[in-house]
This record gives sequence, C-alpha cells and structure tokens, in this order.
Amino acid sequence: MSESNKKISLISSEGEAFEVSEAVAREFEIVAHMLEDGCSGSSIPITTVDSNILGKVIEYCTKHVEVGNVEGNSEKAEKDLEEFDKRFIAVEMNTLFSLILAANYLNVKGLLNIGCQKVADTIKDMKPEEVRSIFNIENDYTPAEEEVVRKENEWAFQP
Amino acid sequence: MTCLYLLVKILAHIPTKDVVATSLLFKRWEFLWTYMKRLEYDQEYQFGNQIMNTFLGFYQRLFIRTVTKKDNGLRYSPHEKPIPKVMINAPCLKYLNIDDRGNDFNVIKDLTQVVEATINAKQTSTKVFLMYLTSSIKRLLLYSLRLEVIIHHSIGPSYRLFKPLAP
Repeated sequence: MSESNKKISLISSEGEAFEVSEAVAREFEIVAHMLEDGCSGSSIPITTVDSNILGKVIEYCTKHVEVGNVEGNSEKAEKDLEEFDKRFIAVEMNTLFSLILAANYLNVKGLLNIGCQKVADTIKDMKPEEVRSIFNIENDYTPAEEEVVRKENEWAFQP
Repeated sequence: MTCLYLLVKILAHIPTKDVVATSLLFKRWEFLWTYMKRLEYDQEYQFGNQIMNTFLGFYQRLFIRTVTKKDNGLRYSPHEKPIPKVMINAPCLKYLNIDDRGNDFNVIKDLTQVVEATINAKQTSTKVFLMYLTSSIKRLLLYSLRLEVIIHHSIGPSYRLFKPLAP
C-alpha cells in the first residue's frame, strides 16, 4: 500500500512539526476523522498540545502501530506492549494529567485508558489530603457540613 | 483536572466504596459518585441500607450482592442487628444484576427503564423484582429455587410475561 508511506506533519502548540506516517497519525482518532473528511493537507495543527506531550503521544502511537503490524507471535508482542505501556505511563502527575487531556482531545483511547487507570492506581491508597493535593483542590467543607456528608454515606467511610 | 467526564473516567477504575468516599474531599465532588455508570454495593459493608436509600438518579447499571449471616469470612455475629432490607430508588436503571443469598428486598420501585436483568435468588422469593419490572424488559435471566412462587404470585405488568409459562 502506498498509503502507508505517506507522511503527515503534526504541529504542536509551539509550532514545532512532528513528521509521522499516516498510520501513526490515524491512531489519533481526531486526525483519522479529518483525513476521512477529505482534509488532504499534509500538516495538521494540534494547537492545544505542546511539543513535549505531543512527542510522547506520538511515541505511544508509533509503538502500538509497530506492534500491531507484526504478524504472529502475538502473545509475546502483547506482553511487550504491556511492559511498554507500564514504563510509558510511569511519569510524574502533571505529565500524566497532560497526557490524559491530550489523549482525550486527540481521542487516543488506549492511552486515555491507561492514563486514567494509572491515576486511579496512584490515588487508591492515598490519604484524603494527598488526593486533594494531586487534584489541586482544597477542603471547603465546614466541620458541620462534613459531618452531614459523612453521616449520609457512613458505610463508605468505614475501614 | 476539573473535567467531570475525565474524573468519572478515572474513578471508574476504583472500588465504589472509595468513589463514594471522594464526596468528602471537595464540595463540588459531593455527588460525583452518582455520575458513575456502575455501582457495586456489597453488604459486607454492614452499614445498612443507606446507600440504597440515596436517590441513585443517574445510575444505569446496578450490581447487588447480598450476604447472609452464614457467609464465611464476614463479621456478622448473632448479637448484631439484622441485615437491613435493601431499597432501590434508581429511575434511570437499565441493567440490574442481583445475586441474592437470602436477603429482603421489599421495596423496589421505578424500574420502568430496565431492559436487562439477571436475578439470582436462591432463597428468597423473586416476586418482589418481578412486580416492578415492566414491559421495558428485553432480557431476563432468572435463577430461582422457588419458581412456583413466581407463577402464582406475580402481579402487576410482569404477570403478562409469565402467564404463558403457567400450567
């Protein structure tokens, strides 16, 4: 297929161009839709994603396309991919949130999924204060209000 | 990260009990847990039927597994208060899965949207469920040791569904 050799430039919010194969670009569902809608230009601006994050999302998609193209040996490939995902998503919280936002915007479902899973795994055993700091929120309940909510959902606050 | 859609997506990966506990983190999150599409409520949390008394306005999917005092590994003792009856008030509910091992469900209302239900009722009568499932139901899986109870006592709209089965 000649199509798979076609290159597409994805332009980050800083204006930096990332050249990728069409197959990789199509992993961004938003781009796939643009191409299907007849957007024939070879450069596509991704104005809400910066170079650092766009580079990472491209790395993720490239790996997944590569593995998807290999025939046979699927069990090993799947394991490798799992390992890759695990390493890929082991980033600090701000980057993780940026990746989730980008994956959501670009509609890269696999990445969105592992990103959300990673946040969930991280906060699962955290103290309330730690969870608040991750989401950048502050306790805005008065003690009386807190008591009401605690009573309403008492079962959820038992050890 | 304040996007509701993404918060719900993240919380979908943690147990319901912890999701409900997020209500205390931030005022705007008080009802976040009610946006979850799926709720797992295990009566192992012996703290009563409070959650079921809450208005589960957005729930489309409900999985309930009840326990009995005889279940191993649970902390019930003969001195403790009886296991409360479970009440469900979830008008948007579309999928209902009940694994009942001897509990009382004596009030279930507003199940007019349910299209799919799996009810595993080994001990109790299933009539209470059938009374409130209406013609919206497309698929019903029923496991019961007391089928005769259904046939004789089904009343309300669901009777129509079962009439052909009656002797």
